[in-house]
Amino acid sequence: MTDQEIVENLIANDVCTIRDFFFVRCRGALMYIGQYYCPNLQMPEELIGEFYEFLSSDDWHKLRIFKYTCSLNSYITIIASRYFQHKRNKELLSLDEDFYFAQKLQAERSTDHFFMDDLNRIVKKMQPFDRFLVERILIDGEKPGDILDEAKVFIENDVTLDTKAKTDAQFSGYIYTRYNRIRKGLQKQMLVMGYGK
Amino acid sequence: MENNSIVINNVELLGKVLDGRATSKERRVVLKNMSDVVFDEFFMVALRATILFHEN
Repeated sequence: MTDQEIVENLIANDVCTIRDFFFVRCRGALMYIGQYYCPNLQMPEELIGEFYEFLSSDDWHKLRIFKYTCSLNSYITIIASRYFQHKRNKELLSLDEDFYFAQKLQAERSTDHFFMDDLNRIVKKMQPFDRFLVERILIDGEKPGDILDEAKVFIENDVTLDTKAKTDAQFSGYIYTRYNRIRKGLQKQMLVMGYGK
Repeated sequence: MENNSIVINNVELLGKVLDGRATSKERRVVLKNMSDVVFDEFFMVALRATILFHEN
Protein backbone atom coordinates (compact mmCIF):
# COMPACT_ATOMS: atom_id res chain seq x y z
CA MET A 1 0.00 0.00 0.00
CA THR A 2 1.35 3.48 -0.82
CA ASP A 3 1.51 6.27 1.75
CA GLN A 4 -1.41 7.98 0.03
CA GLU A 5 -3.56 4.82 0.21
CA ILE A 6 -2.74 4.37 3.90
CA VAL A 7 -3.68 7.98 4.65
CA GLU A 8 -6.94 7.64 2.73
CA ASN A 9 -7.83 4.46 4.63
CA LEU A 10 -6.96 6.04 7.96
CA ILE A 11 -9.12 9.06 7.22
CA ALA A 12 -11.91 6.65 6.25
CA ASN A 13 -11.46 5.03 9.71
CA ASP A 14 -10.70 1.63 8.22
CA VAL A 15 -10.24 -0.58 11.27
CA CYS A 16 -7.66 -2.95 9.74
CA THR A 17 -5.51 -0.09 8.47
CA ILE A 18 -5.69 1.69 11.83
CA ARG A 19 -4.62 -1.47 13.67
CA ASP A 20 -1.83 -2.36 11.22
CA PHE A 21 -0.56 1.19 10.97
CA PHE A 22 -0.42 2.11 14.66
CA PHE A 23 0.16 -1.26 16.29
CA VAL A 24 2.36 -3.00 13.69
CA ARG A 25 4.04 -0.59 11.31
CA CYS A 26 4.59 2.29 13.76
CA ARG A 27 4.72 0.21 16.94
CA GLY A 28 8.52 0.18 17.42
CA ALA A 29 8.98 3.86 16.65
CA LEU A 30 6.01 5.05 18.73
CA MET A 31 7.01 2.87 21.69
CA TYR A 32 10.54 4.23 21.57
CA ILE A 33 9.38 7.85 21.38
CA GLY A 34 6.67 7.48 24.02
CA GLN A 35 8.90 5.67 26.48
CA TYR A 36 11.81 8.05 25.89
CA TYR A 37 9.71 11.03 27.01
CA CYS A 38 7.35 9.33 29.44
CA PRO A 39 9.22 6.36 30.98
CA ASN A 40 7.24 4.31 33.50
CA LEU A 41 4.17 6.52 33.17
CA GLN A 42 2.06 4.39 30.85
CA MET A 43 2.10 1.00 29.13
CA PRO A 44 3.38 1.06 25.51
CA GLU A 45 -0.09 0.23 24.17
CA GLU A 46 -1.58 3.14 26.13
CA LEU A 47 1.00 5.52 24.66
CA ILE A 48 0.26 4.30 21.14
CA GLY A 49 -3.49 4.56 21.80
CA GLU A 50 -3.06 8.07 23.10
CA PHE A 51 -1.12 9.07 19.99
CA TYR A 52 -3.84 7.53 17.81
CA GLU A 53 -6.42 9.68 19.64
CA PHE A 54 -4.26 12.75 19.05
CA LEU A 55 -3.64 12.09 15.36
CA SER A 56 -7.27 11.24 14.62
CA SER A 57 -8.60 14.30 16.42
CA ASP A 58 -10.34 16.99 14.42
CA ASP A 59 -11.25 14.41 11.76
CA TRP A 60 -7.60 13.50 11.06
CA HIS A 61 -6.65 17.10 10.39
CA LYS A 62 -2.91 16.40 10.61
CA LEU A 63 -3.16 13.76 7.90
CA ARG A 64 -5.50 15.85 5.75
CA ILE A 65 -2.86 18.62 5.52
CA PHE A 66 -0.06 16.16 4.64
CA LYS A 67 1.33 17.08 1.20
CA TYR A 68 3.51 13.96 0.71
CA THR A 69 6.77 15.88 0.30
CA CYS A 70 8.31 13.41 2.76
CA SER A 71 7.53 9.80 3.65
CA LEU A 72 4.58 9.02 5.90
CA ASN A 73 6.96 7.30 8.35
CA SER A 74 9.02 10.45 8.82
CA TYR A 75 5.95 12.68 8.99
CA ILE A 76 4.47 10.54 11.77
CA THR A 77 7.80 10.32 13.58
CA ILE A 78 8.23 14.09 13.72
CA ILE A 79 4.66 14.63 14.94
CA ALA A 80 4.97 11.90 17.58
CA SER A 81 8.29 13.18 18.90
CA ARG A 82 6.89 16.71 19.21
CA TYR A 83 3.66 15.46 20.80
CA PHE A 84 5.32 13.34 23.51
CA GLN A 85 7.98 15.98 24.21
CA HIS A 86 5.20 18.51 24.76
CA LYS A 87 3.30 16.04 26.97
CA ARG A 88 6.40 15.48 29.15
CA ASN A 89 7.20 19.18 29.40
CA LYS A 90 3.64 19.99 30.44
CA GLU A 91 3.94 17.52 33.30
CA LEU A 92 7.34 18.84 34.37
CA LEU A 93 8.08 21.89 36.41
CA SER A 94 6.61 25.07 35.00
CA LEU A 95 8.95 27.85 36.05
CA ASP A 96 6.22 30.48 35.80
CA GLU A 97 3.88 28.36 37.85
CA ASP A 98 6.63 27.74 40.41
CA PHE A 99 7.43 31.44 40.62
CA TYR A 100 3.72 32.17 41.11
CA PHE A 101 3.51 29.59 43.90
CA ALA A 102 6.65 30.99 45.57
CA GLN A 103 5.14 34.49 45.42
CA LYS A 104 1.98 33.18 47.06
CA LEU A 105 4.07 31.57 49.77
CA GLN A 106 5.82 34.88 50.40
CA ALA A 107 2.49 36.71 50.59
CA GLU A 108 1.06 34.13 52.99
CA ARG A 109 4.20 34.36 55.11
CA SER A 110 3.84 38.08 55.60
CA THR A 111 0.13 37.96 56.47
CA ASP A 112 -0.03 34.87 58.64
CA HIS A 113 2.59 34.17 61.27
CA PHE A 114 1.35 30.58 61.63
CA PHE A 115 2.07 29.91 57.97
CA MET A 116 5.76 29.04 58.34
CA ASP A 117 4.99 26.76 61.28
CA ASP A 118 2.50 24.82 59.17
CA LEU A 119 4.86 24.73 56.19
CA ASN A 120 7.76 23.51 58.35
CA ARG A 121 5.56 20.85 59.92
CA ILE A 122 4.79 19.38 56.48
CA VAL A 123 8.39 19.68 55.32
CA LYS A 124 9.69 17.92 58.43
CA LYS A 125 7.57 14.86 57.64
CA MET A 126 9.14 14.51 54.19
CA GLN A 127 11.88 12.07 53.26
CA PRO A 128 15.33 13.69 53.78
CA PHE A 129 16.02 14.10 50.06
CA ASP A 130 12.58 15.58 49.37
CA ARG A 131 13.08 17.96 52.29
CA PHE A 132 16.46 18.96 50.86
CA LEU A 133 14.87 19.77 47.46
CA VAL A 134 12.09 21.85 49.00
CA GLU A 135 14.44 23.76 51.29
CA ARG A 136 17.01 24.55 48.58
CA ILE A 137 14.64 25.25 45.68
CA LEU A 138 11.40 26.54 47.15
CA ILE A 139 12.54 28.18 50.38
CA ASP A 140 16.11 29.27 49.46
CA GLY A 141 15.03 30.16 45.93
CA GLU A 142 17.77 28.22 44.08
CA LYS A 143 17.15 26.98 40.55
CA PRO A 144 16.93 23.15 40.24
CA GLY A 145 19.80 23.23 37.73
CA ASP A 146 22.07 25.00 40.24
CA ILE A 147 21.83 22.37 42.97
CA LEU A 148 22.72 19.31 40.91
CA ASP A 149 26.17 18.85 42.52
CA GLU A 150 24.70 19.10 46.03
CA ALA A 151 21.95 16.67 45.07
CA LYS A 152 24.49 14.18 43.69
CA VAL A 153 26.44 14.25 46.98
CA PHE A 154 23.20 13.78 48.89
CA ILE A 155 22.24 10.74 46.81
CA GLU A 156 25.73 9.20 47.05
CA ASN A 157 25.46 9.33 50.84
CA ASP A 158 21.98 7.82 51.02
CA VAL A 159 21.84 4.12 50.16
CA THR A 160 18.04 4.18 49.90
CA LEU A 161 18.21 6.51 46.88
CA ASP A 162 18.97 5.19 43.41
CA THR A 163 18.18 7.35 40.40
CA LYS A 164 19.46 4.96 37.69
CA ALA A 165 20.47 8.19 35.93
CA LYS A 166 23.70 7.68 34.04
CA THR A 167 24.21 11.08 32.41
CA ASP A 168 23.92 14.65 33.71
CA ALA A 169 20.88 15.23 31.49
CA GLN A 170 19.12 12.17 32.95
CA PHE A 171 20.03 13.29 36.47
CA SER A 172 18.67 16.79 35.81
CA GLY A 173 15.46 15.22 34.51
CA TYR A 174 15.22 13.13 37.67
CA ILE A 175 15.66 16.20 39.91
CA TYR A 176 13.10 18.27 37.97
CA THR A 177 10.56 15.45 37.97
CA ARG A 178 11.02 14.62 41.64
CA TYR A 179 10.90 18.25 42.75
CA ASN A 180 7.85 18.89 40.61
CA ARG A 181 6.04 15.95 42.24
CA ILE A 182 6.99 17.08 45.76
CA ARG A 183 5.96 20.66 45.04
CA LYS A 184 2.55 19.61 43.78
CA GLY A 185 2.07 17.45 46.88
CA LEU A 186 3.09 20.30 49.15
CA GLN A 187 0.82 22.69 47.30
CA LYS A 188 -2.14 20.30 47.76
CA GLN A 189 -1.44 19.92 51.48
CA MET A 190 -1.26 23.70 51.96
CA LEU A 191 -4.56 24.10 50.10
CA VAL A 192 -6.16 21.45 52.32
CA MET A 193 -5.00 23.46 55.32
CA GLY A 194 -6.77 26.51 53.93
CA TYR A 195 -3.85 28.47 52.42
CA GLY A 196 -3.92 30.01 48.98
CA LYS A 197 -7.71 29.93 48.60
CA MET B 1 16.44 31.91 6.14
CA GLU B 2 13.68 30.43 8.27
CA ASN B 3 13.62 31.15 11.97
CA ASN B 4 13.41 28.50 14.73
CA SER B 5 9.67 28.39 15.19
CA ILE B 6 9.04 28.06 11.45
CA VAL B 7 11.51 25.18 11.13
CA ILE B 8 10.17 23.41 14.24
CA ASN B 9 6.64 23.63 12.88
CA ASN B 10 7.58 22.66 9.35
CA VAL B 11 6.93 18.96 9.82
CA GLU B 12 7.41 17.98 6.19
CA LEU B 13 10.75 19.79 5.89
CA LEU B 14 12.01 17.91 8.94
CA GLY B 15 10.56 14.70 7.49
CA LYS B 16 12.51 15.27 4.28
CA VAL B 17 15.72 15.58 6.31
CA LEU B 18 14.94 12.30 8.08
CA ASP B 19 14.32 10.69 4.68
CA GLY B 20 17.67 11.98 3.40
CA ARG B 21 15.86 13.82 0.61
CA ALA B 22 16.42 17.42 1.74
CA THR B 23 18.54 19.85 -0.24
CA SER B 24 21.81 21.07 1.26
CA LYS B 25 20.18 24.44 1.99
CA GLU B 26 17.32 22.75 3.85
CA ARG B 27 19.76 20.60 5.85
CA ARG B 28 21.77 23.68 6.79
CA VAL B 29 18.62 25.41 8.09
CA VAL B 30 17.83 22.40 10.26
CA LEU B 31 21.42 22.04 11.49
CA LYS B 32 21.47 25.69 12.47
CA ASN B 33 18.48 25.05 14.71
CA MET B 34 20.19 22.23 16.57
CA SER B 35 21.56 24.80 19.03
CA ASP B 36 18.00 25.03 20.39
CA VAL B 37 17.90 22.31 23.08
CA VAL B 38 14.17 21.65 22.71
CA PHE B 39 14.50 21.26 18.96
CA ASP B 40 17.70 19.22 19.26
CA GLU B 41 16.04 16.75 21.62
CA PHE B 42 12.85 16.15 19.68
CA PHE B 43 14.64 15.93 16.33
CA MET B 44 17.30 13.49 17.58
CA VAL B 45 14.61 11.29 19.17
CA ALA B 46 12.73 11.32 15.87
CA LEU B 47 15.93 10.47 13.99
CA ARG B 48 16.59 7.44 16.20
CA ALA B 49 12.94 6.34 16.01
CA THR B 50 12.90 6.20 12.19
CA ILE B 51 15.24 3.20 12.34
CA LEU B 52 12.60 1.28 14.28
CA PHE B 53 10.09 1.35 11.43
CA HIS B 54 12.23 -1.15 9.62
CA GLU B 55 12.73 -3.56 12.51
CA ASN B 56 9.29 -5.20 12.46
